[in-house]
Amino acid sequence: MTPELTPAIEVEDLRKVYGDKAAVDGLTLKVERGSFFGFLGPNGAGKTTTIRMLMGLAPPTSGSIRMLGRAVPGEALDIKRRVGLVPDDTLLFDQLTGAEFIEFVGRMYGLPRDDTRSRAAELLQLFELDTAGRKLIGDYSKGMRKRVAMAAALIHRPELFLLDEPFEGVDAMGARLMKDILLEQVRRGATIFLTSHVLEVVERLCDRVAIIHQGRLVVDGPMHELRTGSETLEDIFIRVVGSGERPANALDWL
Amino acid sequence: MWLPDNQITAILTTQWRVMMNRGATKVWLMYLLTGLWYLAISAAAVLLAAVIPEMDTRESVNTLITIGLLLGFLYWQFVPVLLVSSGMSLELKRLLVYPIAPQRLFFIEVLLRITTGVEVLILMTGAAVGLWRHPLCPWWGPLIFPVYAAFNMLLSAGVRDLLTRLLARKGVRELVVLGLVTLTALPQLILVAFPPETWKKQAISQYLDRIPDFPYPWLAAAQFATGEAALVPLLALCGWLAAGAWFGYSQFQRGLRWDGDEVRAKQEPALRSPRRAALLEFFYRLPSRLLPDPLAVLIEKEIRFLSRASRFRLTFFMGFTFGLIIWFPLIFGKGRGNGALADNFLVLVSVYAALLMGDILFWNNLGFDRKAVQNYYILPVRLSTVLIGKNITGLFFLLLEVGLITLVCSLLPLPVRGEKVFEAFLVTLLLSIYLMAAGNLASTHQPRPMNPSQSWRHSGASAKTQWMLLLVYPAVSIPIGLAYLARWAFDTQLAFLLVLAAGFLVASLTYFVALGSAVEAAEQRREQILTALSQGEGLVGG
Repeated sequence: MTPELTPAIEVEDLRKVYGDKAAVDGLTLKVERGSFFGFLGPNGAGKTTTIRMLMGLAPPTSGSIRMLGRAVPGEALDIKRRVGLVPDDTLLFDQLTGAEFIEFVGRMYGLPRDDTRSRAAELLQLFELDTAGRKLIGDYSKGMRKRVAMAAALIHRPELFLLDEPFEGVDAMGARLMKDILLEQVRRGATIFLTSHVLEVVERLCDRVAIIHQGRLVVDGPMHELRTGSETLEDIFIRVVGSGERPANALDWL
Repeated sequence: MWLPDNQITAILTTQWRVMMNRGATKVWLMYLLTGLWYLAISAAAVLLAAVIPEMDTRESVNTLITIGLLLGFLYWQFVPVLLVSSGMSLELKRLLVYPIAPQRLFFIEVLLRITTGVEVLILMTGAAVGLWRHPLCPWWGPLIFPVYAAFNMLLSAGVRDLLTRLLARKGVRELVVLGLVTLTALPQLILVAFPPETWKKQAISQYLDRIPDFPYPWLAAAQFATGEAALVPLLALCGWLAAGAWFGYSQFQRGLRWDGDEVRAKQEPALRSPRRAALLEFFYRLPSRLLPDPLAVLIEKEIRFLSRASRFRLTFFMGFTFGLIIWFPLIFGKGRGNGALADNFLVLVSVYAALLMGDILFWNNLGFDRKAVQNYYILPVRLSTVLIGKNITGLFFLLLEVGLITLVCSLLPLPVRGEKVFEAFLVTLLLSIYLMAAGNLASTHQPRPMNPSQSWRHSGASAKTQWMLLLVYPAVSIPIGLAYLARWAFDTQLAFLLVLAAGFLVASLTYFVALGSAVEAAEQRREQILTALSQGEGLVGG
């Protein structure tokens, strides 16, 4: 199979154990190229750990990862050049301004300085961060932090996006902008791997969904196949990860 | 791989920006201070270049170079640790998400170590010029300095990585920071142990002679530099260089593979022993056994929060460790031990502990747990109850600290008499009431956001606050000073106790008046307080 025809992400029997607890337990997953993939799960299910392993930040305890037809960690450098990332909060540099950070990321991807500067300026303007001026990322609100991370992820025009809760704390205007940009990226052939707790957004954007619960994959399939009849994604999610109903006598006083 | 590379220059520029952005609101001041610092270092280098050729013997030059290189070594290993703990150092592990080879990252890490030892390089250049001008030293001697610098950079890269991993463990981080803080008392301890009047010209070389004969890197480099020997020191230093490279690279690679989440997962409270958890729970629930709600639950929450905050834990430990270490030599050093200071050692250390913990417990009692402040405005609880709860907690920890100081003193053993223990508790209690009164006002008028999880960071106190503290501390100490004056003047303990009793009366009145004002300010300045506390913890926050 030529690299272009291979899946964007292929994960085989992936495990990550912390102490005596498996955060990810035998995860097998395939994300086709050009798809908008939603990776869901309740808090502590193993979503961020999976993304961290895909990014090479946490070595798996066992299992294999292939991205864009190449093996991780063997061909990690080539993969990283083609991946855009909206990480969880910790990977931003609090002591840089938004402009400095985006410029830094562009140069890390090997873009020429002039291109980096002009693209950074355009991205800052698009995400309405240009007015923040000399403000440091450490002083940004949560929504602004997500917007700057998204802007940085776009700068090198990646083929695959790994997005960890990109809409968290972002206002309606910002979220709309981000959704439009992401859909545009999928239209040009990029793949998006998205984790989110906002099921309505996932339902609207994603064409395929996987649900992870206690480190194990419990659902994986195309959105149109999963939603049968009047069942929403929220109904499916609650059905597979827990009832969401409280015991009969609980909270009687309420 | 070499310097005009986009990635390398981007990382080096970013490190520079991170350091400079620390004072982003006063960039010019940062540049000015940095300029002055390097000017002073350059002046010292010029001085070295001038002084070394004037030295009579090769032995004296050797002594100077050995000590200089040893100090340079310590500086080079210490500064990166300081930068990591102050949040000014780039964590290269974060760059793993970008397309950059781990080997190149190590090369960059070593390059970054140059930036943390520029001062040493400048001084070494000065020393090299001095050695070249010295008639007894060979011209090739100073050529060893680049090798010594490379050894330091490689070792420093490893030490920094090792310490980053160690500092991720809660208890270890506090111990290391405590150790580093205690190191600042070292010059004072040395001065007391070896007073300047006992210093002789040969004394230092005598001490150096006592060190076992071993080719330490600074010793080997100095021997080569001054021409005392060539082959053996060169081989030794090459050995050190190889060891430094191996240590630096292996530690760096381990750092890249290291998963902080795993360490944190292992430190989760759920993994603690049930017995320890039960004991802690008993301790936390003590206020609820004695007091009614909401005061009890407020105090309980404060005790839980403070005992889990790294920054407070460190300050608390410093009270009965660092406090004792820095006062002990001053009071019980050679020729001392019988004066008034020695007699009141326990009181002095207790008052010093109150000053150490003052910023967290009193002066900024809203800003330390800033996230809770919104709740105080939302929940149906009086702000006076909140402040009283915080004050009782402060008092509790301070008196616990005095108890621990007493315990440590009696274990050492230091002279601890019952009446002096009583006096220490009484004086600390009186001082605390004044600190609570002034602290409540300061906390509501000048709240500052602090990061409770950072063990070693600046308190964020403005110049105005620092000046205020400088004035307030002597003022609140007046009643205590008067009590000691009365005892000295009337030569009776009764006079001391009477003045203290009067001090307590005034302190209680002051406290209640100040509490009323503080509550009023907290109500009126609600928006300003919440805005001030919602800011990041200064520019190095995160």
